[in-house]
Amino acid sequence: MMFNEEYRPRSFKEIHGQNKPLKDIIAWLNTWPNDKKALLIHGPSGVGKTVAIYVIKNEMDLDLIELNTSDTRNAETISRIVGNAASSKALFSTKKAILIDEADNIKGRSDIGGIRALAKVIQETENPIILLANDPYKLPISIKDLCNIIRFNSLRSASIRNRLKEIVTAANIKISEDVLKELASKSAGDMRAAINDLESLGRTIYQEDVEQLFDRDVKNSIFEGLTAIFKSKGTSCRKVFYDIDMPPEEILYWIDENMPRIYDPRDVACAYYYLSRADVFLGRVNKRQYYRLWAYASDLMTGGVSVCHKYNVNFARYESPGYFKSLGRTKAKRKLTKSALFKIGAKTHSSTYDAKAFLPMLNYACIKPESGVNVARYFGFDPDELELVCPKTAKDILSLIKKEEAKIKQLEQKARKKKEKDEEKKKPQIKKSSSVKSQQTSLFQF
Amino acid sequence: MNFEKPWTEKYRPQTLDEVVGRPYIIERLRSYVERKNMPHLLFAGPSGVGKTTCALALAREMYGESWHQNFQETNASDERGINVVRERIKDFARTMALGGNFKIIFLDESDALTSDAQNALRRTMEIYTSTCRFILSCNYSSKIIAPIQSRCAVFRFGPLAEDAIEEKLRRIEESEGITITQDGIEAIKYIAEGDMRKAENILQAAAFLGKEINHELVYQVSSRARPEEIEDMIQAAITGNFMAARKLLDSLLIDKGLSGEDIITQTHKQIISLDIPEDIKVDFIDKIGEHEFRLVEGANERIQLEALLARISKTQR
Repeated sequence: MMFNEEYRPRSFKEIHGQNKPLKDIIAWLNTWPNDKKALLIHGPSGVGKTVAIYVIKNEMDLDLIELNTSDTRNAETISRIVGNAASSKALFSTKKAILIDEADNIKGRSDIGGIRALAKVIQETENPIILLANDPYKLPISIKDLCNIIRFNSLRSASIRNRLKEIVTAANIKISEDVLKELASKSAGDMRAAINDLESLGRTIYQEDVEQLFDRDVKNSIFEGLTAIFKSKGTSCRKVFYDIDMPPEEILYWIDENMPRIYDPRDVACAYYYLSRADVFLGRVNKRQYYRLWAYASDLMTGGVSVCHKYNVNFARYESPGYFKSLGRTKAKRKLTKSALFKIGAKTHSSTYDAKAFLPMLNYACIKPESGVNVARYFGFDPDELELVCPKTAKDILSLIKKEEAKIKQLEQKARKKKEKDEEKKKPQIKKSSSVKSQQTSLFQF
Repeated sequence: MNFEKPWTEKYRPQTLDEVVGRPYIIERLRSYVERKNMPHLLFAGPSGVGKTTCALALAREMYGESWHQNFQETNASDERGINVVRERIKDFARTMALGGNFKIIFLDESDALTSDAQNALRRTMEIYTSTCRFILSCNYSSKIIAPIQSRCAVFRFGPLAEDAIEEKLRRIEESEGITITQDGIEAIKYIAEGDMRKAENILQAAAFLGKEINHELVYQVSSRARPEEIEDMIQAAITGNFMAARKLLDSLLIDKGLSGEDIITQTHKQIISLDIPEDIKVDFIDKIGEHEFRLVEGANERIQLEALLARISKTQR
């Protein structure tokens, strides 16, 4: 289960930073139908609009009927589903409410007549109706006039941090206070994004991992840049990228990730021709430290990709470059790999490069945990390194080692106790010999 | 079988006599031992062909028991910068040799040093030449600057002959009480390509899975992309499903940890046996070569492979 599902707040106390609008919603629900209006809740994505409604549903035992964009919302469905629910009062004491998610997206051919039907239902309903929207300006006045409006603002970084902290504890993730703070501030007030980021970074999160994440503010501007490339047909789009604060490699990865999703398959090869040429120039920059070549790389990845656009584009959501993010995630892993390889190299007279040749063999050596213990001991791996070399059995190996160490400790303690006892017995009789003995041991230790 | 130590170490030759497949090199090295003197040496050759082993055996025979005090192993590619290398060399060279006239410094991967660093190294070699001998090991002697080459006796270590590898594997077989079938031996020789480290590692890995080692076991443990995996990726591209091909590519790169070069050479092999018009085939081979060249020049492996797959998708449509 994704973190965003698993750790979806279920009670009021798990909601952070939206106390005011939450109270307003409850107050509105409790006084409904004093003015017979619907409720329009709007605000940027990932700030807890839907979550707030579901928590209220849980805590107040609300019977909720939901209609979101995955259902078509034309006049017929809205009148049928919402209309039915709206006109039938709840049988028992439970309160009934209707939730229309993404209300600013009721449009297009499949949703024909939806708005008019919605207006009608709002006026005739027997139950409260709640509309959710990102952008209230997209909703027609005819609907807005029928609504009370509550706004959810972007979350403060501290609120995000507090929630992340709860998740980190529940999911047993290792992350320092400072790194958590940075992670929270990267999401530009979007809790869902922050939780996704947290999940994508694995069980132990280091500073470098968080640095790899895309700044969500920069993300908005890269979206504009991508649109400029994919929708225009010429080199003019290159200008948009002058303002984006992102190294050219990263921009290339964004284009690479999204171009094949957006372009018609017939245009993809042409676009990749220029993308791969741009990549060649970036490689040359790195190799020769000759930064003037960046200009050609930038022009080819923007203008070059843009001129290849001949057929109609698909409408798809932009995705962040997952492949390179997963590479970034392994940056800490790569450092770890280096340290493990160093230990292998030291034992086998090999450079870290040649030491790689041992990894597959060691993997097989670890199949049996007893054998894996020997691997760990021989090379002196710490637990993290062992996890890398023997990913499948590291846990078993470590617990075996712990067991053995505990046993040895026990034996040592026993031996020490026995020795003390023996010495105590001897003490009154021959004091001298015991002092000689202790001298001997210290000499031995030296 | 439980792990004890890597067989590359357990069965590393302790004396020059034990080294297989290097008769001429061993003869020359032995003459140094007899004379108790040697020039600087340059060992050039690929991985796993006996450069380090010969250096270690030479030191053991030269100094006997006290070889450890007189032999310093340093790795040019792992130490940070030539200064660290120089410091370590200086510290080591300062003290007198025990039971000999000079100490030996073994500098592995010396072709990883830039030419500036090599010039600095050349100075160091001159300064300590009365107390120290260098054995430089490298993959390509052409990457070692001429002044250093001219100060060294150069030894070329080619890939080991298959007979030498077989001889060694049979020795291990006997001592470990395992059985290697003849097809198992052939498979190891084929995959190892003259690299003894690789051969011994494959054998040891296989031995963890069974006492009788046949070619199936050998292929199972040697980490290569299965030909079918590459084929699936190319087929996805050919049928025009670029996104599916890219997904398969990612799984090879990330999950399997293959390098872009690995994938591209295997793609080349697959394309040859593909049932497509010959002129298109030739065009692909041209493109594959171009993309591999770009990788060598420092381009990004994923972008280049994607471009190649996109190109394949297009031609087939």
